[in-house]
Amino acid sequence: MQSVTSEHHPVAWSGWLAAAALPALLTRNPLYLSLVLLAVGITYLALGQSSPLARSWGAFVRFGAALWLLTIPFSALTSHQGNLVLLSLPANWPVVGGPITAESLLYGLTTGLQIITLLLSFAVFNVAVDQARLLRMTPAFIYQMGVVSAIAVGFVPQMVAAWQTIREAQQVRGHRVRGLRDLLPLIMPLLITALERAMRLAESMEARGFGGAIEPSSHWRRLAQQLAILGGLAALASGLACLGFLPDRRLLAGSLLAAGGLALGWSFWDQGRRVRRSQYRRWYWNRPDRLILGASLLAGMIWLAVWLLRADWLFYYPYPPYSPWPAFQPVVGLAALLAVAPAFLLGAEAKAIQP
Amino acid sequence: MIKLDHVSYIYPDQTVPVLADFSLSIEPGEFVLVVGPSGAGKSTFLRSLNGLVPHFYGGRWAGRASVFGRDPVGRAPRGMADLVGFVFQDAEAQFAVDTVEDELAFAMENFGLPQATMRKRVEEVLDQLAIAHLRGRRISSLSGGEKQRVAIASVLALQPEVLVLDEPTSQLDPQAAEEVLVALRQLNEDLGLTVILSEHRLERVIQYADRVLYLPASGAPPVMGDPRAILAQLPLVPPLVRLGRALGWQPLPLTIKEGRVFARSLFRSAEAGERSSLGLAEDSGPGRARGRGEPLSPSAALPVAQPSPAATVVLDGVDYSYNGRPALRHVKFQAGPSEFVALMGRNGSGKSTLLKQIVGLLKPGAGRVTVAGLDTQRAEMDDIIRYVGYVPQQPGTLLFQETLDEELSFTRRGHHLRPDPAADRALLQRLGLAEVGGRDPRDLSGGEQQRAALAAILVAGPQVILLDEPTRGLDYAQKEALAALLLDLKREGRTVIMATHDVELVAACADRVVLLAEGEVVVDGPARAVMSDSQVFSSQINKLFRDPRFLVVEDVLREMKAEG
Amino acid sequence: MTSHASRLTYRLSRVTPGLILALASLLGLAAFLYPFFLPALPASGGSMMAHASDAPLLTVLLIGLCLVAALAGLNVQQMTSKLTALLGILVALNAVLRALPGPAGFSAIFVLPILVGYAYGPTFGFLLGALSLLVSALIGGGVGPWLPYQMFATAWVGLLSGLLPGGRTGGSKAEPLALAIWGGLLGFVFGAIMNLWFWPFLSGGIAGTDTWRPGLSLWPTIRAYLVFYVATSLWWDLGRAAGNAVLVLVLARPVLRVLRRFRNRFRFDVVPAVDII
Repeated sequence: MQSVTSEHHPVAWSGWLAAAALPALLTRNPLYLSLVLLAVGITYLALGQSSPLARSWGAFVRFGAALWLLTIPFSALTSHQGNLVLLSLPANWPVVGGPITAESLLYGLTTGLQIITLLLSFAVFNVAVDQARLLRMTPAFIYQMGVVSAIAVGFVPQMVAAWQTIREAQQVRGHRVRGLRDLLPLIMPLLITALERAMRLAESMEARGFGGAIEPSSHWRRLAQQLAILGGLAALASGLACLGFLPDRRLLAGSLLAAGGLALGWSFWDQGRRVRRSQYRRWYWNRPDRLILGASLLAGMIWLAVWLLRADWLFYYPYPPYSPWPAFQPVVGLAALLAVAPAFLLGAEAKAIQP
Repeated sequence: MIKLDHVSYIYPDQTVPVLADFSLSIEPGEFVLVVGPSGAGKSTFLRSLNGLVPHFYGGRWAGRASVFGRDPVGRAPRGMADLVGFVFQDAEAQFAVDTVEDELAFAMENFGLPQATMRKRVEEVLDQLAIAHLRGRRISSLSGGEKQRVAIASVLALQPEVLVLDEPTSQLDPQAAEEVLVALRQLNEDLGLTVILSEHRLERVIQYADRVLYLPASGAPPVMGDPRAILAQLPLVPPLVRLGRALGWQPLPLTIKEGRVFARSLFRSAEAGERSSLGLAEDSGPGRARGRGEPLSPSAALPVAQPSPAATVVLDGVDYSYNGRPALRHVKFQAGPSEFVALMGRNGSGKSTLLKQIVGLLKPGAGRVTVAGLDTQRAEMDDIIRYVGYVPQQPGTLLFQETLDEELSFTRRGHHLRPDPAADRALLQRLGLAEVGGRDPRDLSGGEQQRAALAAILVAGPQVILLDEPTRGLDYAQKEALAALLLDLKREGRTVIMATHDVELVAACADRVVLLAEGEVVVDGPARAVMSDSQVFSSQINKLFRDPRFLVVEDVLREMKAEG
Repeated sequence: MTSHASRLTYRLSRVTPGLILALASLLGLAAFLYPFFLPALPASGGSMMAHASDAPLLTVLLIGLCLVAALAGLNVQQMTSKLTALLGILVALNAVLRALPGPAGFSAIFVLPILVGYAYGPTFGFLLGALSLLVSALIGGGVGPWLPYQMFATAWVGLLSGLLPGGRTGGSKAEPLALAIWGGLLGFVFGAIMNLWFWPFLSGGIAGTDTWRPGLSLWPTIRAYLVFYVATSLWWDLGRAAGNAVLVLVLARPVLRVLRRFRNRFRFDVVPAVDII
C-alpha cells in the first residue's frame, strides 16, 4: 500500500482511537480483543510512516510486550483461585504461596491482551496524526494551554541548538564535565538565555495583540463558571461513590453523574464562548476521513449500547464459577472489526500528496 | 501623524529619566531613521509608539503621545497592534510557533479575525515580502534575513499604518540586511507605510531616510532633521561621511555614488581602472567568479609551500564534512604572531568551522591542523586551549556566574591556573570593565557583555585569539573601542583571527584577509590588496577610490597632507 | 446587586480557582487509587462482577476530566503574555530534560517543577508539570493512555512545591538540602503512582471469589500491588528519586537565584504609573 503524506483529520482519527480503545477498556474477552488487535495492526500497515511520531511505534510495541510478559506471572502468582491447578507453591510463602492455576494464567493473558490492544491503538493514533495538529485541537476554553504548548514545541529546536553552542563555548574555556556539579556551567547559561528569550517573545506577542482574548465578564459570571466546575466535580464524585457503595441506587448515581457532566459541560462551553480568538488552520473533511469517523462512531455506539444494556456479553472472567471459554456475539465482533475501516479507505483512494 | 508632547519616562528602579521632555512629530508616510549611541533611549522611544513603554516595563510616564489619533498609553499594546507593527532586533526570539504560515496568522488570531480574512491576508503578506516559497517551512530552519522578513510579514498581517523596527538588521550579515532594508523601502514607497527604525550601521540605510532623529544621550532633547544636516552633527558616522565632513564636501554624500563625484576630483592620478599592482596570493584552486558576479583577477599565485617556522597556526590541506556535506575543502591556511587575519565570506562558507578546527572543537577529516606545534587530532583539548582562546558569537553562551570577577576565576580554574585577583583586576581595567567587576554579567549592555566574554577568555593569556562575529549589535563607539583593543593585543605579539562580515572593522584592523566560499579558500592576501580587488568585501573608502592605497579615512587624509 | 455582594463575589472568584484545583486533585487522586478500593466495594451479586471491568474506562475518563477541569478553572483568568511566554519556555526546557537519557533510564522531570513551583507559586508549578509532560509526548514520546496520569502526577509535584513556605524570597542556607529531601520524597511517591495507569486492568482478579465482604479486601489488594511493585519498578523508582534529589541539591541555589532575579527584573505584575513625573 502506498504511504501517503496526506493530512489525516485529527478528529476522525480521535474517533478511531476511541473506537479502538473502548474495547480494551470495556472487556476482557480475548476473542474480541484479538479482533481489535488485528484491525489495529492492519491499519498500521496501511498507514506507513506518515507522521513524525511514527518512530514511537516500536517503543510502544516493546513496552506493550514487556507489560504483557509481566502481567501473566503477576496474575498467576498472586491469585490463587481456580480449579485447574498447574503447580502448587508452599502455602506459607507470602502472597505467592498456594496453588498456581491455569485460570489465573488465562486471566493474566487476557489482561495483557487488554493492555497491548490499548497501547497499540494509541501507537497507531500517533502515527496517523501530526503533533502540531494535535495542538490545534485545543478547545477554546483552555486555549491558553494550547498557546503555551505551541510555544514550547517551537522552542525545543532552538534550545537544542543553544545547548550545543554552550557546551562548545564552555569546553573551550577549560570546563570538563566530570561530576554532577559540572553540569551547572552548561545548564545555567541555557536557563538564563531561555528566560531572556521568553521575555523577548512576550514583548513580541504583546506587540501583536496577545492577551485580552477573554471577554471581560462580570464577577458573577466568572464565579458562576467556576462554581459550575466545582459543583460538577462534586456531583461526579458523589455519583461515583454512589455507584460504588450503593450499587442498587443506579438511578441516583446516574443522575448525579449526568448532572455533574452537564455542569462541567456548561462551564466549558460558556468559557469557550467568551474567547475572542479565532483559528487559522482548518482541516478539510475528505471522504475517507468522513467514512473513518462514521465507522468509528458506529463501532463506539455499538460498544456503549452493549455495555449499558447487555453487559454480560462483554463479560469474561475465567475463574469459577464462570467458564474460562470466552463467549462470542457477532454484533460485538462486528464492532471490533470496524476498527479496520481506515485500512480499506486509505488504500482505496489515491490522495494527492500535499506539499 | 505621530506626535509626542513633552514626554518623560523613567524605568522602574531608576532615578534618571531616559526620555525627558521629549517632543517631536512625524508625518504619515515618512521613513525616519533613529540614531544615537547605545543607551540614549532609542529603544525606549520606539516602544513608546505602541505602548510597550510603559505597559510592558512599568515605570513612570508623563506627557502625551498620539499615534494616528490613538493614545498608546491609554490603549495599551493590544489596542495599538493593528495600527503599529513592531519588529524586534533578535530574529530568533520573536516567534511564537515554529511554522511560517502559523506565525503569520498569530497576530490575526489574537484579534479574532474570521478565517476567510486570515487566509486572504496571509497570501497578501507572503507576496508583499516575497516569502511565498517559505510558507510551509519551519522557522528554525530559515536564515537570519528570511526570519526577519517573516517577522515583518507577521506584523504586516494586521495591516498597520506604522512599522517600527528596533535595530532589525544588527544581527544580520550584510546580504540579509540588504534584503530586509530593501523590503522596508518598498513597503514605504509602494504602500505608504510610515517606517521608523533605529540602526547603528548608518551606511546601510541612510540613503532611504526622509528624516533622521538623533538622540544624543539619555535624557537629552532629540534632534530631528534632514539626513545630511544631522549627519553633519553626529559624533560618529560612517567613513564616507567622515571623509566628506573632513574635506568639507557639500552636499554631504550619503552613498558611494554621491561620493564618487567628489572623489574623482580629488586625486587626478587615481582614476578608475588604474590599479597599483600588489600581487594577490590566491589559493591553487581554480579561480571562479564568486559573489554577485564579482570577478577575481587571476594573478600569479604565491607558492604556499612550507609553513613558515614562526607560524603559530597551520592548516594543511584540511577537509571536513558535516552531515555528509563538505564544510571545508582542502583548506591551506597559516597565521603567525603579531598577525591580524580576517576571515570573510558568506554565511555557511565555513568561517566558523575553520575557527572551530583551530581550537580543536572539530577534528579534520583529512589533513592536519597544527597549533603551536600541537596536532589537534592527537593533542588534548586542555593543551590546545592553553594557546588558543575562542570567543563565541553570543556572549550569552559563556556568561553565567553571579559576578564578572567570578567568570574570570572560573576560566582560571578551567585552565588549572592559580587565582590572581590583581591580574584579573588589571585585565578588567584594560578592557574598560573595572567598575562592573562586581555586577552580574548578564545585566551589562551589549558592548560590555562582548568585552566581558573577551575578558573571560583573555584571562588565560592565550597566544591565539579567535573571534566569531564580535561586532554584532555594537555601535560605532563600541566598535572603535574593540578595534583598538584587538590591535593592542596584536601588537603584544598575539595572533588575532576574526571571522566577520564587518568590512569597516577589517579595513581598520586587519593585516590579512582570507575569503572563504563553500569551504574553500578563495583568496588569501594582504588586506589592502584583497579588499581593493573585491567589489563586495570592500570598505566604503575603497569603493570610493578603487585604489589599494585608500582603505580607511586616515589613508586619504595622509595622502592629501603628503601631496601638500 | 449591592456592592457588598459584588465584593463578596469578587473575593470568592479569587478563591475558587484554588478550590477547583484542590477538588479536581482530590478526585483525580481518588481515581488513581480507585482500583485499590474496587474489590472492597459491596457486592450485589452478578452485576458487580460485570462492572468490575469498568474500572479502566471510568478511571481514564475521570482523570482526564479532572485534569481538564483543573486547567479550565485556572484558565478563567487571562494569562499575560509574559506568563504565557515564560511558561512556554520553561515547559520546553522541562520537556527536553525528560527526553535526555540519563543513567539507567533516569529522567529529570521533577527537578524543574519543584524549583519553579517553589519560586513562582503553586499555579505556575501545576501548569508547568502538566504541560511539560504533554509537550514531551508531542515531541517524540508519543501520546499514550498513561499521559493523564503523568500529567497529573507531575502537576501535583509542582503544585505541592509551590505551597512550601519561603519560596518567594528564600535564601536560607538550608534551602537546597530541604528541597533535595522534599524532591526525593516527592519524586519517589509520584514516580510510583505514575505507574498506576495499568493497575485497573490488574486489580479485578485479586479477590476472585464471589463472596465479597465490604472493607475486607483492601489489604490483600494493596499487598498484591506492593509485591508487584517491588518486583518490577521499586528500585528504578528509588533510583530516579535519588537522582532527582541529587539534581535538586546541586541546582537549587543557582536556579532559584536566577528565577528570583528574573522575576524582579521583568516584573510579572506590572502596573504602569501614569502622569506621576
